Amino acid sequence: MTKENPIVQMTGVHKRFGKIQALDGVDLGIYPGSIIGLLGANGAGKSTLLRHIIGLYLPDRGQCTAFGCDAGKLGPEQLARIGYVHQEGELLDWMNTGQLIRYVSTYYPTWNRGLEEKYIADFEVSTDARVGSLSPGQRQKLAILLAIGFEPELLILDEPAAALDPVMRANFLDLLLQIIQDENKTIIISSHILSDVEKVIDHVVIMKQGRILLDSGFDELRERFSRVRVSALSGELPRELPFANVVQCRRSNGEAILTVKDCSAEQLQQQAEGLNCRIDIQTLPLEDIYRIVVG
Amino acid sequence: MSILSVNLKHLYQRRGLWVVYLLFGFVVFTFMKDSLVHPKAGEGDYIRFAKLAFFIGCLLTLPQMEVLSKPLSYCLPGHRRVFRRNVFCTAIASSAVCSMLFLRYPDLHGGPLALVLCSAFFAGLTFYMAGVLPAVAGVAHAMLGMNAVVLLFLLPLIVGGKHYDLDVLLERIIIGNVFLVIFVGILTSIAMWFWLGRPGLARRHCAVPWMGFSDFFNKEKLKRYTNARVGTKQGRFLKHTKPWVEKWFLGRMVRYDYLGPGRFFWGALYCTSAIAISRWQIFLLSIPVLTIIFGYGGKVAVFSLIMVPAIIAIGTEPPVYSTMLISGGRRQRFTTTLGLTVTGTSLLCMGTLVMCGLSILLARFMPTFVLKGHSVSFRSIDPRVALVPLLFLPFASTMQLVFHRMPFLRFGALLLPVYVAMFLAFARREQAEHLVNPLYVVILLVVSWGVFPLVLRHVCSKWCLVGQGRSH
Repeated sequence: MTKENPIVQMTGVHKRFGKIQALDGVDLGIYPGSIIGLLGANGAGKSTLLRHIIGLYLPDRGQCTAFGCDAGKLGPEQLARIGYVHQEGELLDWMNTGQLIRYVSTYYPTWNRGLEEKYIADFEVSTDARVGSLSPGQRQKLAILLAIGFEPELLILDEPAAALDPVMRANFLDLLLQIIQDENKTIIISSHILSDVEKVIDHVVIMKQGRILLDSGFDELRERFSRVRVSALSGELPRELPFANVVQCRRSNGEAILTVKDCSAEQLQQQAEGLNCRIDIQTLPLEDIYRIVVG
Repeated sequence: MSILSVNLKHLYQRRGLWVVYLLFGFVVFTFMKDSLVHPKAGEGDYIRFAKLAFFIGCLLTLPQMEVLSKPLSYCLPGHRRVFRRNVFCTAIASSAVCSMLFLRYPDLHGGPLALVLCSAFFAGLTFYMAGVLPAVAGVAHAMLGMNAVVLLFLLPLIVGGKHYDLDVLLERIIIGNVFLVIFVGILTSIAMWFWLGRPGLARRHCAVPWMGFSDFFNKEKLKRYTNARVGTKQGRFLKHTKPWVEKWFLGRMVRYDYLGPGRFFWGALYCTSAIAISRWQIFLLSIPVLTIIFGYGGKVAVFSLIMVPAIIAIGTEPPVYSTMLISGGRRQRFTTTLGLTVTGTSLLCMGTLVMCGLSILLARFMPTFVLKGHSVSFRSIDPRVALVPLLFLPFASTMQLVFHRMPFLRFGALLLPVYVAMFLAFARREQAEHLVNPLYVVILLVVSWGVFPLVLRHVCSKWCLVGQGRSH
């Protein structure tokens, strides 16, 4: 992954809405080919950040560029390379689905009719149904179709699977996995369903109260955190378990489960031998890492 | 605090309603000032305040219905019963106040005065309950059954009473047939007490998409309500775009380059006008109908043509704030919004000129008739009225941009020129005539068309275009 030319660059971005500091000095670079999971609690500033990228919001201070162009000045040349699935899913309710697809496709020179037909079949979209009468899940599917039908270079997904049932979520994930086969594609996905997100991402950005708490490769992040199950080789487990960098400790049934940060397997093994304990090291799921980072 | 008093607080807690109260008060003051300050016995002046109870009943019941339709209300203990008590509380209070005017009725004292006050009170109560009916039914069902009677019969009676001596008749009935009026009032109240207290009322309205008269300003609610009606019997009357309209607009769009403004302009025009064009027959028919109305109505033409831009501004969404992302950026939103405003203004002006031309033709044939001793004849429409949309559409569009997320303020700001025009036309006729001269018109044109693009440019370059109610 090249670090030379980010397709999105945010530098010192501040944004305030009344008394709320929605973004507080955000610095972020998004590089081609990366799949970024943008995580954070409700109100952390995720949607605000994403809307800055496509120019719907303008920063009070700082700069935001996409494809080398200031976000406030993005034009058809840049926006035709960006697909955006909106959290609120605003569509033209008075059109039927087929009309809406035809209307949107008119704006994109790279619209792929074959892909459109494939997604219509995969998503089971009825082209005669009035958009306004669609259920939230169907609307979401349609919004996703409209965002990916022109094979954008940058795909921004703001809670794309929130309204989808488990089967459709699995299908959507498969679709994402297909999309990311193309190394030219960059995806930013903001979602609360971390178990889904961690299957596809390779980069994590965690936000809290308008700030970026963590911006790291996913593999590196996973290596930093471990779950260590400690059990005594003989007798009782010692009262004190002086493992380094323990973030959490839970004892039950004669064993201890530790969450450890920034400690290699060798270091842990050494410490365990010193305590006459046996350890079992596992990687933490993203949800647990998120909880630790956010605190 | 009791459940009843908590619910009554809705009537003043909603700041949007203050604007409605203000407008209502302004209308009452404008049209009923004389009846209040110098009422004349036997001319129907006293009954007008009883008739006001109809509108008050409608207005004050709407917020209560909105609360009742929320799912959480259904589960609140004791809430279902309080709706009826709330209605009667406000009905009794407003009828009592409205009937107090009869204290000034000449030659009425003691016992007869007390009886007349009772009669007026129950007349007001009857009108109030008639106003509650359409409010409870909401817009969708307002034409059904009893509501049809109320809206088609009673409303014109209330509004047109002055011109057809109906007010005089009603006043005579209240003064001369007190026991009959009291009896009808009591019967109506009992019937409404049981109707509003029927067990299924809350359940019937719980979580059902419901639109009150005030919800026309709420685009989200209107959209949700419209979408919910798809598939119902009313759904077949919903608007649909004709295939030829889609084909024509998409054909126009593809003629232009992907990066140029033309594609976006035609796309925005498609979104704004496709449904209207699909119903072209209605527009074609409306031209002669409106020509006849304006020809006989005189100044009505001017006020209507001020209202049309206001209605357009309230009813349409400017492309600037579209939340559906297509490949157009802020510059494209600027050009399309400007282009749409110019196009809309041109079409309105052209339509007005067509009506003026048609009125010149019709002026030779349309009959003159007599209404209440006054001769009403058809006159050709002054072509200068075509200036009205030219002046007011950019103003309305500016208000639409600025007050995009404040629907009541937008409505108030858009109706302001209507009231100013009405005030000038009726109260300050000489000054109004003086204002209609080329210099002032040119100044207004320059200001109107100068301010709008500047505001639009500012919005497009500086404001947030979507989001949680923030404009900048």
